[in-house]
Amino acid sequence: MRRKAIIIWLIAATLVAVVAWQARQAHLALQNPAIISGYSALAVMIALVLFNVRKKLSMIPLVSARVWLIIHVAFGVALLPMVWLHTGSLWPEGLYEQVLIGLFYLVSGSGIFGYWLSLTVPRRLRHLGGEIIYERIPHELHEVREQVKQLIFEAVEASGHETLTLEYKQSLAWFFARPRFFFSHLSGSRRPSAWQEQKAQSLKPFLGEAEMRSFEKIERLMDYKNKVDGHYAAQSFLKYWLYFHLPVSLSLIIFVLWHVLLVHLYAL
Amino acid sequence: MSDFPPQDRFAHNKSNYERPTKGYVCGRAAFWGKPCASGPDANGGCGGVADCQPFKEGDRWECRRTASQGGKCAAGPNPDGSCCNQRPPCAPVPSVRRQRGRLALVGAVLAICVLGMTLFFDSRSESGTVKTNTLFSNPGELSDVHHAFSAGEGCQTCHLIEEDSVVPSGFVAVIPRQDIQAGCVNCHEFGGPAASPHNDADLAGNTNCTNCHTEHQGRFANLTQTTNQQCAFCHEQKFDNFADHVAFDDRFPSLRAGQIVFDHNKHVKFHFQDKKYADAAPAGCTDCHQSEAAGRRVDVKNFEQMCASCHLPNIVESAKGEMAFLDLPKLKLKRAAELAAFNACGAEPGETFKSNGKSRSNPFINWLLGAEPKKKVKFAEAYCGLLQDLRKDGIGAIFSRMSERGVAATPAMFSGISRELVSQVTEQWITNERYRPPKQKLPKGVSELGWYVDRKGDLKYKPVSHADPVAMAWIDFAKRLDSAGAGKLASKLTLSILSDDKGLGACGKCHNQSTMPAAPDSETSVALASSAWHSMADAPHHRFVFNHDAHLSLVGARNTNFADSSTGCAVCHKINDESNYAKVVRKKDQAAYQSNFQALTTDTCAQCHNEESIQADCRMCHQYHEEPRFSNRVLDTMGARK
Repeated sequence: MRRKAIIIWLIAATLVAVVAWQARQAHLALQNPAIISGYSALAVMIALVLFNVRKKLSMIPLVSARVWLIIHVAFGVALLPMVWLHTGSLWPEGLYEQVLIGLFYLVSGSGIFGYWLSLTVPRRLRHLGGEIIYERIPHELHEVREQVKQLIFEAVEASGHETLTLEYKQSLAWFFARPRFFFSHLSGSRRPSAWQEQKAQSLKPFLGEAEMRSFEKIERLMDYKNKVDGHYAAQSFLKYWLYFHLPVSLSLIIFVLWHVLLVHLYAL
Repeated sequence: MSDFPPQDRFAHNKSNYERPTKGYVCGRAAFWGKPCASGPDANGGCGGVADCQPFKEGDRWECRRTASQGGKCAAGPNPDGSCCNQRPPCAPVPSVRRQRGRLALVGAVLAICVLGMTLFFDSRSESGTVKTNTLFSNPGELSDVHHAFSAGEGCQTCHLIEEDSVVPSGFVAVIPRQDIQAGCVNCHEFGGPAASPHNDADLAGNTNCTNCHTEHQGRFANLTQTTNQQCAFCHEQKFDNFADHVAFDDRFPSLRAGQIVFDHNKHVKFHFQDKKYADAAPAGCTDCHQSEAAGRRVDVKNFEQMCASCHLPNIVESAKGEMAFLDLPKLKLKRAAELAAFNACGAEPGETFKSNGKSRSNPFINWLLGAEPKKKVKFAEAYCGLLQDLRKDGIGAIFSRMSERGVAATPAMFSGISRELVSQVTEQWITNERYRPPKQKLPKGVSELGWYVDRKGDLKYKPVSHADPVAMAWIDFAKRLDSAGAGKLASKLTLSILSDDKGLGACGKCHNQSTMPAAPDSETSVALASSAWHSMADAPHHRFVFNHDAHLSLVGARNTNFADSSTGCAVCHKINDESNYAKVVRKKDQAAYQSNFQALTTDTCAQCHNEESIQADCRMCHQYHEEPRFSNRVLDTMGARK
């Protein structure tokens, strides 16, 4: 895969060089280099959009999604110099062109951010351990919750005390109800485990032997819940950045198509 | 509990198969509960109000709860076939994918709305004039130089918009590009066709202003920026820096003789060293050349400042040039036809007529009459007609006849001529009386000047001084005659006027006749003829740009002398001792012309203009356009504003 990635990046770099050279030749020939750089950028943009189409056509064997991702990233990065070549500046004149380049920067920026996430988040997930399918997280939490409730019932039955029941009502129910400490997990903070330790430390002096045995099991479930929460936070972030990238990309494509239309109306 | 979470919890019989592409997720899962096995339906409705959908086999209903949900229930289906484990429906929520899709749709709709809004911004005024649309159709601010003049008519100043244009008014900038050039030439004019390369009609190809000049790049954009490589696209000789510049012409920069014949070599090496002229001789180049007004050329001072001190006495005192105008031709008429023709003059000669005139042939009269004296009948008839008209109209008869001959006279040609002189010569010929010169003789050493009648009775002109306007007008006439190519008689007249001995050709000793343009007509001839006599009035390198002023201070040209050739003008302009300048110039053969300076080579310029020190782009020395200027429309507008 590394070899494939190098080849794809080289192709992207070569494309930029070829477009730059062609545009330069057009400029020297007193022609309009923006036509070459503009249409090349449009072609690359369409190729980038095809990545999304490819994801929707997963049943067709159109190269692996991983290769498509590398293509998407490499050509997305190559698009930046091509667009600068086209505009001739980082911030062009004209309101429409400024809106267009603004959208382009937002798409590029969010794309680069997403790529960074795709590199760093899996590392975090690996660090957390385990494999949890995002869509199954509610089910997992439900199962953990049921297990905790079961343990508390058993402890009450065995000890005759309701200390754990009260604690569950006061704080554990909140903790197990849904994923917690989203941003703490995202930033890799120790806050969730600290919260857990603090609860354990404050509760343990009041527990009898039978309750303690149940609570130790509950603690292991809390550890597991923290892991699930970590997965949830990381995987959510991997999915939610697209909430920005995709709509802005679509807006950009519409603005680009209108721009192409305007350019051709000029030439009528 | 020790094996939680169980490793096989996702086994096919213990969990549902997840489908992330589905549009909705179970409402229970949305509240972090256990999702049902069925999940939402395609429309987002709850599909899990029962654990299963019992199946009727024969006359019995069978439970179909999946293994992952615990398998067949003990109670089994109700008698009506419904599941016994009923629960209230949930409210499914859109999946992440569907939410992203909806947001993308919102983004697209917003983009279309924003674009659509621009269609409603009508920038046409009531009069139909299209103003500048400052919204989305404006591709960028105009440069400072064009910013102001488009304020009145807006886009239409440059862009031509058809009345029935289908383009919505919100996009008024969307106008045919090929019309841009028509807008440009409204204000910009050149010394040749605007659409030809270098405005040179002889160069093939078409150019457009927008090839090089791109507007809407902001107020501070440089519209005239071009690169060496752009020049090299058309030019066969391609190079990146001045060191590789093609060799200059062998005679550069003096490709052809100037209008003043001045042998620098002879003057600097001999005359200025002569003790006789020590007081008048200049010490250095800038004594004659006006360094304080240096531009592309360093023009010389005028005759009075430079040449008169040595040359004026010679010009006035020893001037031989004179020009015969109206003379008394020698005619002997014998035959009846010849005599009948002559009778037109009103005289009554005898059987044989012999005029008292002494002149044989006057090229001017011959050209004017279109006949020579040897063709006696024709000449006599015409000559008599001319004399009659001269008697009646005076010098006006000459003007009208010259116009008829195709080369009109100018008033300057007959400036100072008196009616009496013309009448005197006319009458004596008609009456065939011998001319009697005045008894008063001129003092010794003093000769006739201006219009006078010589001892033969011929009316002549002799220049009064340097830059004599009558002589200049006649030389200009000779050149017009020459360029008109009016036949053998005209050629003879031209040679006669420009003759060193019998005409005004002595002027040509210093004024190079072969480079002087002829004035086109009588109205402008005086001014043009006058300008043609100045030094370096012609500009052979029309698209070559050079500023002497910027270089003079570098070489220390001011206050230098001829003796020191290491500084000043001599750094670049070195006298060529071997040049045969004067001899070649007199031959009037431009092809053989030799400057009396050594030719400049690219090495001369490359002393400073090289990659290490001063870079030289093509446009530092060459301008693309031929005589770029504003049109009268612009000048009128500016005048009206003032």
